[in-house]
Amino acid sequence: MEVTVCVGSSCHLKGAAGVVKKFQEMAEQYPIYNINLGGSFCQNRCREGVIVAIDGIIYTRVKPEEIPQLLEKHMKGEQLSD
Amino acid sequence: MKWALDIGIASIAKLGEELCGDAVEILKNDNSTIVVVSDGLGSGVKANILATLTSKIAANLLSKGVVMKDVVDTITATLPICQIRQIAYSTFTIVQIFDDGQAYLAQFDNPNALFIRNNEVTKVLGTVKEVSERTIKEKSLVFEEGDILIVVSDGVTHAGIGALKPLGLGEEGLIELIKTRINLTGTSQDIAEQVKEYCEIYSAMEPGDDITVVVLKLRKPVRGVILSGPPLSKGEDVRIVEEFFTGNRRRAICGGTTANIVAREKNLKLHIIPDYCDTSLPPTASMPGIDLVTEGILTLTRAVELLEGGKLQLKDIKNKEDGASQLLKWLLQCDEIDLMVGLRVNPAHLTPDLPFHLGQRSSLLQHLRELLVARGKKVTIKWF
Repeated sequence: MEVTVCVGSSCHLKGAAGVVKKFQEMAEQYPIYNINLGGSFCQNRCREGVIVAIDGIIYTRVKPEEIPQLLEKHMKGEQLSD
Repeated sequence: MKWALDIGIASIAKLGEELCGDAVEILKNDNSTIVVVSDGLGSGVKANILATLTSKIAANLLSKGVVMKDVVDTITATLPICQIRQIAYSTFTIVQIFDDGQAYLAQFDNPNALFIRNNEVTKVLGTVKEVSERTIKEKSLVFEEGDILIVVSDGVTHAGIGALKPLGLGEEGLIELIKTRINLTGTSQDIAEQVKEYCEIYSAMEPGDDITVVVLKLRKPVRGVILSGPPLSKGEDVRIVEEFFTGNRRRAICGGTTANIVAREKNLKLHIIPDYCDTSLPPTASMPGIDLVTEGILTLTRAVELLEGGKLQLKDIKNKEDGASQLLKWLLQCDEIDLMVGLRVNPAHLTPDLPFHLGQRSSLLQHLRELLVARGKKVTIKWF
């Protein structure tokens, strides 16, 4: 699973560091997700940060506490936002 | 600027003193750099005041073209008289190095300065001259690339008395130390710190006098260019990126969108590893051919804050890897810096829901320029 978190200025101010940390924890706790974590700069959707792309699908306003649920739904093929 | 002067300073106060009684003053004017090393009588606060006054007076007067005799007269007339010894006294070594390598050296009662060319260490003895009843040694030198001048206070030549060097290190001992133990290929700061550390060791970590080492090294100026911010007109992207890659300069990018534009136009891979050494700043990225890629406003703001005190030295951030520290290390290693600043503002950065004002790139870069100029860097700025 390719997870890319936007770490640009705006997403940073909206908590990108916490989102990255949560994904790192999830990658460690749940090897089944096979998370390959990466970063990106501005994705031009700053108003909706923190922006996360999972296997090319964009998720907006991502918060650390919602990540377990987000991953689960992503695995099931459901899209949460947009 | 034909040559750049790399300056390194390392000092430590006598055991038990908070203030070092030696002072170093550096002053740059249009075509030269003046460095004054002074050692005040005694130690602690009193010595520090004497040394600071001496170095400030000497550097300022010389930079305004005042002749040596008047400088010495002014220092003698201004220094407060020591109540115990009934004299006003502090030593000094003055070095003025011009951009073309010409140099003038004046020494009063400090250990002889050492000149190093091709690993050959020689004492700078100079012509003895009586100036206002003081014996001053003067010398004119011409520096070439790679030449090094080392100026020390007598705490260095006396290092080890009563400890590992019963008679003190001495000038010959210092020359031997430099020849055999010091890596002269490093930066001036590295060399100065190495010499100081040996002096501490010889003193069994209990220095009996203030120790100061100043190292001056002549080298080719290092040029760098920073690209920060996308251009106002999107049609300019290609031209700006092309300009960024011209010339023999080191390159850095400050700005996420800017990095994306460069990666797109040059078909380069932008690699961001979301590892935080400091969670208050966004992580840095890498791109082939670019020394450093950082986020823009937040990183630049932190870098400016760190520079603002004026006291920041390379060693303070040597082991820090956050974007602002990396940017500062990069900036401090450059002598001439071109700032290429794009003025396009991301509308999303102007929304009131952000806890920080992100739309201030132009004023931030202008301020950064002023701070770098104050540190002797030659900085140009170009808006687009």
